[in-house]
Amino acid sequence: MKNYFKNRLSLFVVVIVIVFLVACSNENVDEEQNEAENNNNADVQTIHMAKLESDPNGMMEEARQRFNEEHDDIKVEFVEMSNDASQMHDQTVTQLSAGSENLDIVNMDVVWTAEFAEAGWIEPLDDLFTEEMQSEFIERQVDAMTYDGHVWAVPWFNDLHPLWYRKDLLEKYNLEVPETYEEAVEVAQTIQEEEGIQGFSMHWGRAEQLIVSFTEFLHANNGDFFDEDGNVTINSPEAVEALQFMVDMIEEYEVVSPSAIGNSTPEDARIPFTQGQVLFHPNWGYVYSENQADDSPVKDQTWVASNFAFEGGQKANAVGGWNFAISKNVSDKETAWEVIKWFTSFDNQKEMLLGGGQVGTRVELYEDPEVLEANPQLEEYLDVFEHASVRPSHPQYSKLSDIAQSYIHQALSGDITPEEALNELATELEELE
Amino acid sequence: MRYRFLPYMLLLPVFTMIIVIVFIPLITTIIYSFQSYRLTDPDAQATFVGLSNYIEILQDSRFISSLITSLIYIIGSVIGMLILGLITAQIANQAFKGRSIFRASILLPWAVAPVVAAQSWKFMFETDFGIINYVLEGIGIIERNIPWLVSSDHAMISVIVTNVWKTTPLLTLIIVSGLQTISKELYESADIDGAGDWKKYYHITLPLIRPFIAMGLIFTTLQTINVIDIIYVMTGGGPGESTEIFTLYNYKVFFQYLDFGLGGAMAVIGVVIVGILIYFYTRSMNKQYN
Repeated sequence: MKNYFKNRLSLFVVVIVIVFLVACSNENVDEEQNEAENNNNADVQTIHMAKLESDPNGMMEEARQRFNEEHDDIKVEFVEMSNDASQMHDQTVTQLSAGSENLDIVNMDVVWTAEFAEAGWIEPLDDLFTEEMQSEFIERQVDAMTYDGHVWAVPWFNDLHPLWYRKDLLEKYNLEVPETYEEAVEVAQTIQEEEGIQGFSMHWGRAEQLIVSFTEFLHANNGDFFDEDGNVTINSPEAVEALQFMVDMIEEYEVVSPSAIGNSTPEDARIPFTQGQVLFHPNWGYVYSENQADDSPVKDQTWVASNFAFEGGQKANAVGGWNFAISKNVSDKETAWEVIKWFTSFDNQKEMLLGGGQVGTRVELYEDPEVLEANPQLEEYLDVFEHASVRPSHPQYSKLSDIAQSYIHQALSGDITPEEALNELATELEELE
Repeated sequence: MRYRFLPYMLLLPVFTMIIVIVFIPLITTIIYSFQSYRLTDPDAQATFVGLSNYIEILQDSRFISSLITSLIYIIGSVIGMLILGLITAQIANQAFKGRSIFRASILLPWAVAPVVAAQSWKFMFETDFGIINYVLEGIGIIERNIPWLVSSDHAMISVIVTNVWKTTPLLTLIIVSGLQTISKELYESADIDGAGDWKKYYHITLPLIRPFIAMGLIFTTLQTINVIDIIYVMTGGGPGESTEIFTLYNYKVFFQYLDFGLGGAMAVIGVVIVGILIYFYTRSMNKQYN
């Protein structure tokens, strides 16, 4: 019996050892192959570039292959990242703070600039991304990449957060697109009553999207988180008024459903709009292609405009999008820059837009007849770009955002008044280093 | 004698695993908790700061309120699970046709991934088109739709219900195994003495399954406090902070604020609190034998 067990044990050990050996040797083979490939071309530089998991029509992969074919001395490899912005943030931060050499080109959300720059994870690009070159890009996207007097990244995917609306319904009642929130509420109430649909669909759940929407209301009423000197102004009368209006849209005017404060993703709010149950819907640019899908109940019935302003205020459309920055641990900055320049070039951006619907950042795109014919909504976008609403730039943005979400959400759910919420938020923001 | 080292050899893999996945992270966390260590700040990279993280966290009203929220969440869940667990265990222990199907089906919620369960309940609790409001309205219990997940009065109830549904099967399973250890003779002699069903349950069943209940409660309480998936998916800690338990806050401090020092201190306090809870449970478990 003892022998039996002993044999079994040694067999088990042998199996384990073999498994390990096989696993290790496989890796060796891979490495050897890679090395062999590299040796064929002694001067080939490999650049590791972050890429979102989603790749409409495989256009990114196509672009990478085209780049590699055109360049003998540079090879681009993608580092796949989650589509969820906060997960992608964690992935990127882990790589950068660990000093990883496997990420040369970072793909940044617009709100990460201050954090990444302050932490010293990315290179300033002033001498490469010259002012002359910057002027070829949409101004507000470049502005979002500027922090502390330096420019940190090249905007590459442009996202905007305009007002989507049902043009068929406005036409039916012979109404123009309102200019102000006050008018919009009246229009919404009228159509709500006549058509039995909801006036607004909002993503006001406790998530980043709440800050996107709140910042628009704030800017539309001339308020802001901080003034030019960095003092906290989030409890100014303008800010309180803006938040009060958001609360009233639910409680008093009843144009926003109370369930809106459970909508934590843009999708939660978009679905009823595409189902034809909503009149006004501020959301990101992707709404257009969803509405124009063949099975969409509102195909050709929706259109886009700049968001509303408050009386005496200004229109405000949130800025989003993805941007290429260069990691501090880059193997060769010049080479990485070559890659960024190629990917953000007019030709490649046009290719990506026509083939995958990814809206680029070069001004020229919005004047190109071929592009406009395929994407008529882009003409309206130029007007939307005029009224940019950039979320606050702060080295501890994710903490700021989380605290702000908490207080604004409490006000929306009626636990505290808007004034209390913003006063307490102001106190906490002042303590934030 | 030839096998003197064999037992140790056999235990070695388990010990290595425990050291690697429990002790090393625990010690690292304790070290972090005495340091100023924020990933986002190049000036705060693992410098020793003594107890200042602990002082800061204990003065943080959000942390204190998250502890209270956790307590409500645990107590609510434990009461719900205990009632439901005792009932389902009693049913599962009866002999009836289809018992094995019943036993298997009560285990299902436990087998469902927490995120999937949370997402399903989130749909059901939806204010305007959720089935819970639809049913309650249909049978006339409520007149207006209840904003389950988006009002601070109802959000806690919603996540507790979900957690009870998800975690009770574990408790049921343990109680059933306890019920099966009770010998039938005890009930028979009680019958002869003329004891009623309630008396039998209270004086025979309950005392005998007590250690099993305590052990089940340790598991389910740990599950309740450590698995943040349900709350994370259903409310994200909201509205405001009304469902933010301290493990969820801890997660945010660690992985969103990237503040390892403060996060470490919170985690250490959490370990101490959970340790105290387990101590009380085990004490009540042992009482039975003394």
